[in-house]
Amino acid sequence: MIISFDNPAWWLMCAALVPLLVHLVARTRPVVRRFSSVVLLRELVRLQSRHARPRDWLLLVLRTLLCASVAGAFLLPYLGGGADGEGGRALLLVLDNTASMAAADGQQVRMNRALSVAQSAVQNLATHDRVNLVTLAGYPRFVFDRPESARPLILRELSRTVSQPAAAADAAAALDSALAQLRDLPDGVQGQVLLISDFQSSTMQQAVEKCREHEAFCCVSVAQTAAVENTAVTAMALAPARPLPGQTVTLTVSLQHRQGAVPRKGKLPLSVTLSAGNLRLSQPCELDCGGQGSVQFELTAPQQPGDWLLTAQTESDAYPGDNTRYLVVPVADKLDCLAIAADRAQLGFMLRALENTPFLRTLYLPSVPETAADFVVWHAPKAADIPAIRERLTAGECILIVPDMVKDTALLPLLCNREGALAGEVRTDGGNWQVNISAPDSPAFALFSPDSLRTWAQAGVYRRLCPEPAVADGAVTLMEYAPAEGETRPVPALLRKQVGRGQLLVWNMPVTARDCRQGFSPLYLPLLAEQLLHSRASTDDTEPIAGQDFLQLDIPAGVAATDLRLQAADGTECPIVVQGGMARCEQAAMPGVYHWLAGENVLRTVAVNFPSRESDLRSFTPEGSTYLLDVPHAVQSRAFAGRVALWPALLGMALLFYVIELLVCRVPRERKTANSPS
Amino acid sequence: MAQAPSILRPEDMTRLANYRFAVRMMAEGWLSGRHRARGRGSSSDFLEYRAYAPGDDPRLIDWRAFARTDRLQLRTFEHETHLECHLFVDCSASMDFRDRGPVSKLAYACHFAACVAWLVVRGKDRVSLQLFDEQVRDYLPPGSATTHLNRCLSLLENPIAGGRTELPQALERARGLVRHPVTLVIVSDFLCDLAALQAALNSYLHLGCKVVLVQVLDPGELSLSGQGLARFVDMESGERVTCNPDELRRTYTERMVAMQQRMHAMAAARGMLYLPTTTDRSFYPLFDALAK
Repeated sequence: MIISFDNPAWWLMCAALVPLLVHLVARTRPVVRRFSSVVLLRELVRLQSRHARPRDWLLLVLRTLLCASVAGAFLLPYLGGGADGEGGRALLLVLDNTASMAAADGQQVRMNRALSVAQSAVQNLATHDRVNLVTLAGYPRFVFDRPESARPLILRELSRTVSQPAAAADAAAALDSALAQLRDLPDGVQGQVLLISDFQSSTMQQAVEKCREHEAFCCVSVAQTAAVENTAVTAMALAPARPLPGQTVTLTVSLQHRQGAVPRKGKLPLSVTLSAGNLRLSQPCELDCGGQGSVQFELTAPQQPGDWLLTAQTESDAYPGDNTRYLVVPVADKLDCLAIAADRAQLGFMLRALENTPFLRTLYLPSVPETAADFVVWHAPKAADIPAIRERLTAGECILIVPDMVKDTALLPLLCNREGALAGEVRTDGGNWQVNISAPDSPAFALFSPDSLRTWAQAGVYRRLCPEPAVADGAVTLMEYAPAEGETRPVPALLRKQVGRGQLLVWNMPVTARDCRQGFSPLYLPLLAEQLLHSRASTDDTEPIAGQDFLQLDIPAGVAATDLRLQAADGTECPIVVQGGMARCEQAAMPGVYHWLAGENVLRTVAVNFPSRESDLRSFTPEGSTYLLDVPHAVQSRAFAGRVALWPALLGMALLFYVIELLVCRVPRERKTANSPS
Repeated sequence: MAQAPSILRPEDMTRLANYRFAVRMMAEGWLSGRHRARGRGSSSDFLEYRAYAPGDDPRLIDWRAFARTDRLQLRTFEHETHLECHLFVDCSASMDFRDRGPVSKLAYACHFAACVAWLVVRGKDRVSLQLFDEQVRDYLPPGSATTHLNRCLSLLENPIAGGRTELPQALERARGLVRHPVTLVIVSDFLCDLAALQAALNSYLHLGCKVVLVQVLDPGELSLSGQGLARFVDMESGERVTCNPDELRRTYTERMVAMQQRMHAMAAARGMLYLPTTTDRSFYPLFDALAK
């Protein structure tokens, strides 16, 4: 039989040293006395120690055993029990600690319930049972590579686990990894995956569906209701994305209300408070219960270039994490524009217009550079340039493509995600193609008077690209050619499509004087300017993802890496590591505002927002899930089967030692000697 | 009498004036004096008959007894003789011990010895003095003059304790200085081997010496004073013993009493006078015992 312990506090056994320590600490320093002759004393001490030393040793041993017994009783030892198979059990705890677990659901926060379930499950395992813990917030974090017999460590880890304001990056992968660990268990070890979660519909449904069939998979739901009523600020968008100093901008704050278990009807009155530097605006609104809405603020960008922090906030509710949202807007006096063409003449008047635009810092390049820009005008890109274009779009750049008017190989892959080439066509009959405004309400045409647009449209175009069938889903046709005879669908002249965080514009009109009358027209300049300024609305989708992304910064020239700091809004310093000209935070970003500082100068402000999908607090009940209250009971009854608790025996032994000690102490220390008078 | 050194105070002399140093056993000196000797003498006090041996003075033959018994027997008489007192004072390091007594054992012993010397010289008798530890440190031959007394008192006035208590060896070494029966007054703490002491005293006893053993102890030695853990350092050997006096006191006291009883028994068996005392008590009662 193996003796196991329920209480892992092994340090309690140090109590056995207490008698020895008391003996050492309380030992008095002897007083030195000169004496006439110690012959008699020496003889008496020898006689006494012959009698008293074994008695002292016996007392020390008894007291040590007494303390050790009491301490051992606190460790709750027991004999046998707990093992279902030869090799014991293995429990893989998959603990959902995403943001939704912080919701006050019923009378208790979901996370607290989950932790108590997990702790009771671990505590009631046998000592030699294996256990591992996986947390889902951000990236899945496994405590061990495989289940280990380390209950105390898992319990300690559980005591430190809290709900993180982050979503699960890949819950399905975490569950797959957990099941894979079960498959790698040694023979004879019975394994089980215990998923403790609120089973949020938006994040967990797909992951659970994949694992549901696995026999060793067990779900425990800590959600008390199917849904929790919640109001969230879901998005903030600023148009234009990068305002110039003093430019009037429009901020759209999107709100969403999610119904609870008992749906509400009617309108929900709310107020949205916007903080922008010293400015503080508040605007009431009414939100349809269970619906979405938005509030718009007209603002003026600050006069000084730099990062502009906007904070939108609604009234706090039972799930306050998503009631605040941040947006950091870079305000620059000039926007970077790259003009890429094999030959400068190919860009014709467009390049001249770009260079004369006061708010643009235009740079002509014959090839693709590595530097980032706000806008890129790319003349006649090839198929080989498509990866670079996509990368820039993903990074959030706005790219205006002037296709190769003879044979283009880039548009089809970019717009329709398929290989192919488009052939250009030239009007040879002496006429030209007329251009119509297909989206007159677009802000791209806000600066144009109707007459100027009409004049511009009637100028006509001699060369165009035959885009059949190049119009992609999700693309907006701003201008189109009037259908010619035999054409079944209009040919787009100016297209806009959102790709990634950036925007793709297709200028299906020649820009040189030789090919197109438009090349002579200065009218396209305000069109282009307005398009460039308003084409891209900023959203917080581009911001770091809470719990998953690590804040990083390209160290600017002239800044010493040693001066670089990352500071949260509350003044907390975040640990960073500098590597290869880049500073990186060592911890995953959590919601909040962070400042990259060089000394006292703010280099950059970064906002990390609450993950929007965690705002949806609707839960589902997985099939075959264990009722919450059954888990501790089931684990406990299994773990205690066949157990023999030893702590009463230890306490009895302690009592016995105490009685023996009392008896030994009652024996007189001095014994009558043979010479003693009768 | 010349002025005595300061060790002998006027009140001592006043108080000792009524005493006479007369050990209960008779003294045996070689000068005629006031003390009775057990040998043949010329006094009028009959002592005993003994058989005639060639060489005896024929004048001492009791002819009347010869007529009655037909044996030649000598009639012997006690004769008055002077007293010769040899003072042995232990000056070993252990005698410097003082715990609960008002003075150290050595000071007490020297004071007592000075009184004895004064008393002896005052009785026109001879006194000698030996200060010893493991050997005889100072020796003054017998004398009865005042100057001799002053020398004795001077020696006793500022004794320096030191050395180990080797009383048997000291007695054996001093044996050559004693050629006829005298009175030995040994003042010591007798913290030595009693068997060896007895062996050393045998030769004196065989010579017919009267031996007075005056044991001077500190009250703290008798009852082992002090509380708590103590490290006792032997004043003679430097040996250290760590113990708790509270735990040993009872046994220690019993051992000390037993030791005194053994000494008393030994002294009684060999006709010696054993006078135990402690430094917190007056030594005048000792003179009472000496005078009996």
